[in-house]
Amino acid sequence: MEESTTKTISNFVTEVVERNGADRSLLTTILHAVQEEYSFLPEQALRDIASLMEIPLIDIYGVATFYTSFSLEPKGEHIVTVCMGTACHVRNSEGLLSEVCRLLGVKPGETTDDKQFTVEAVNCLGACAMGPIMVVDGEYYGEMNASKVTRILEKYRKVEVEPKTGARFASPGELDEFKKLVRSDRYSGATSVSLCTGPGCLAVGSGEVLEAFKGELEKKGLSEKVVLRGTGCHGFCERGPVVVIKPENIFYQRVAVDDVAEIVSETITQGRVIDRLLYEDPITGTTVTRENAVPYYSKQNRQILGPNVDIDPCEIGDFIATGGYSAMAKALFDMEPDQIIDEVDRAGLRGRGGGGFPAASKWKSCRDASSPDGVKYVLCNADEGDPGAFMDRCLLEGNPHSVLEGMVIGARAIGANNGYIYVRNEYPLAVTAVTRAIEHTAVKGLYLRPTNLNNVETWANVPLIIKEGADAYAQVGTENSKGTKIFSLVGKIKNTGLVEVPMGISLREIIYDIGGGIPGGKKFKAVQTGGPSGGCIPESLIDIPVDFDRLAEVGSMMGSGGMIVMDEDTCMVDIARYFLEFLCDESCGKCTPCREGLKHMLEIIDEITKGRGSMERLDLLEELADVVRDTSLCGLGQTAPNPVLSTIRYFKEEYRQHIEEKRCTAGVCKALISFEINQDACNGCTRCAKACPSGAISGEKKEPHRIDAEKCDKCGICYEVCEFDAVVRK
Amino acid sequence: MVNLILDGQSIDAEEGWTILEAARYYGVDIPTLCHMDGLSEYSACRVCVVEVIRGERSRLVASCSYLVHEGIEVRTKSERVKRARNMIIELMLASCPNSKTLQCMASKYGVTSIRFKVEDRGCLLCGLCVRMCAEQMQGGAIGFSDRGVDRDVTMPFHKAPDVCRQCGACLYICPVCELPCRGPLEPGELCNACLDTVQLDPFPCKE
Repeated sequence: MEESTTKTISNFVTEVVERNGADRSLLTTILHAVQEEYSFLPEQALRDIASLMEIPLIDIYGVATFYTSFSLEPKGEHIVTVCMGTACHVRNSEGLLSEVCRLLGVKPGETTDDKQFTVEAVNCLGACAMGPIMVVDGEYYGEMNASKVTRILEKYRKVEVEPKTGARFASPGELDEFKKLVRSDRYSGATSVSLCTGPGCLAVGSGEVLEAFKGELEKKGLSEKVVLRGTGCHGFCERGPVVVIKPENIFYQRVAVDDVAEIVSETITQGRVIDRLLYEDPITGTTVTRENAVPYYSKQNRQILGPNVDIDPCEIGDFIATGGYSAMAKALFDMEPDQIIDEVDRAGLRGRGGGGFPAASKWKSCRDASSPDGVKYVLCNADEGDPGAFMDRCLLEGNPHSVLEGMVIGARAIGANNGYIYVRNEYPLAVTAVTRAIEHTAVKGLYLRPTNLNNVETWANVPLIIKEGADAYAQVGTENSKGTKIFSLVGKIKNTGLVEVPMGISLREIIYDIGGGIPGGKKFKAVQTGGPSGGCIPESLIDIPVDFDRLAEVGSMMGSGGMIVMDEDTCMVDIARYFLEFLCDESCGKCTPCREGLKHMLEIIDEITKGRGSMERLDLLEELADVVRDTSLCGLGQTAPNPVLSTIRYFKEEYRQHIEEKRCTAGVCKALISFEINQDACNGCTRCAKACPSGAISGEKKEPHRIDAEKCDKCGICYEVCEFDAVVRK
Repeated sequence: MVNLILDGQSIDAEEGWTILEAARYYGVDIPTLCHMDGLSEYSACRVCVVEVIRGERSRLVASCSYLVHEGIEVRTKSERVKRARNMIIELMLASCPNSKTLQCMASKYGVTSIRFKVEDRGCLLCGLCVRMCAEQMQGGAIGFSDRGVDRDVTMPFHKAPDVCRQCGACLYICPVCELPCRGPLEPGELCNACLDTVQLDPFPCKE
């Protein structure tokens, strides 16, 4: 490396370390700063950090290689990220990834020779409703399939697209603007436009729609009169981008940039409703004007998620106008810590992060624990690692103050004076939203001190309990699971999105009444809850009430609330394999059963999906799964066998078919299926031949086509693109 | 002093002892691999698991780091323990088939075959060398990199750092780079004929 480069790196590192402090706990923060500056971690930088912070170089090297968000190699100009979360997986993200890799000629994690593109596969981007998701340089592309990839990549290869800042948070001089905007007319019944800019809607262009609204309102001289809010997730991602116009509560769905001028001139100026943008009930065919009359919403109980519509996360005033921080005021001035804990206890609040541990007990033990210097911590876990769940992301992005309020109340109850929020690296917008919220409220914040950790959604429930009282809160729910729970309803379901329902509602109600059932006339097979630590629940159990205890009884768990619906085209063996692969990636590798055990479990299940399994090996798989559960060091390994055990428990017949009949009835396991073209149904439109990446399809125009089985690599693109159902999967 | 039950016997143990310490004090055999007196506890290999029964609850814990408690019952040879322990030995053998330490352990505890795909990685990731270097030699030259199945013991950027004095303590303590077991003829085969274990072990676990 040239001397000047070395010097620049050293200067930069010195500056970063000085700014952050040389405390070892800040190592990842410092590495992130370096990674952001250079797009990778240069060796020189790590050496400088080691000597400045007095940490052995090997420890820094260990951290730098442990986390997938760090790279020791320079990355390409454009980062192409493909989401491999569960919801995306059941919608064939694997085919998408292999197409991206094929087009660019690299493997996941690699960079093209011309240094233009780096391909990354990540475990969940939290935009599950619009899966499969591909992100290029921070721009989301939802509902992707392999045939759309070329066009999108070409766009980046040729011209430099203007970098976009996060649509809803782009406002310089935030503090001044904040002061200016806290004005009475914003909250006193003036016309307002709430456009959802949650992950699902952003993936279908709500960023552009927001800009269009801004421009149009300005053009018409309405900027001062009409309040425009780019809000967090409303929940109904399937119909995004969604807009709610208040005070009339008019609900518009699938709004495009071209609709904006009309909405402003018709609805906002003249109060006329535009019929074509209304939601039409697919069963009755009637249109619905008001947001709360949409069946998807009317069956929910959105006490946590509901306020999102009225809150621009950049505006603390919006939050205060919805009654925010009143619970905090009550807790700080009118309540004693024991009273708060008692209230939370009587409300029956259980942790929403997965385990369902009573929050009050946790708080109490932390309150009772003594700290050498009186320092105690409250932590918020926003490391939503469960692929397929994105409610924590939406709460943090859409209503960060409610989480902070909950934490402040918790801190008062526990006697804590410091707070931390841990946000995963895949959620940059959530980091922005929370940072801004903290700046607005001026709330600032382990080390062998009593510490209380709760998840995002748990914290967001706390203000409600204090505000409404334990008795009112406990009216909703079942005996041992109180309140509501937010689920991300994704996968093979008509209405994907976030739903907030009272505990005790049946799976059937969620899937059919709210979710609208399975699309394409397909048959429901299973619903997966609890993420990689959970299990698959079969149709025979679809009427069970959803609460912590019942889900555990049937071999699954509440988890953080991912609910992935699977239909007849989902292979349960493949799902078990998918989760194992995910867990192998997430395993830290410290203990033998988790590291080695999961690897061999994956090997055995891989054999089964390739038609090389045996019933004897299936027994070995079960035995190994038991030992991994019994002996692993931490919760990840101890729950990792759940997806395998629950699919064997409820879908053993499917395993048997794979093993003995070498058949995958869902048509997913490539080694066990083949594609053919029905000669009678094919009209020779040539779409499949053009789309086939391996050139396996031949035929004259307007004549039936054929697939060469030798060349076919079973990617399924032909099956996806054929509009005449002529491609048959066997 | 705390009182507990160890394999059916009521025993007294010093407060602060681990189950392993108590068991060794009373001459009860528990196999260990990543544990070494004088080094910090790592609790990673899990071969020392024992069953702890506390009230209605029974679970497997690593005896090297689980402290004795008043009134608990510890079982070191229950079916559940044997099944788990042997599976762990089998898993470790699949990644280091020629380690003499492991081959002897297999003979002693009755592991007679490896049912998993054998892939010699030459390292068990037990972390003995890493702790030896940092804690006894004040070196800090080696450590872990990457994660999951890719986890590895390495030097930073695969180059020997200045802090490495080439003292060799890491090699000395390694259970894999010792002289390999000469019993097996094929990779993945178990010798199961270890003469030393039968003679040396006064309390053979194999029944």
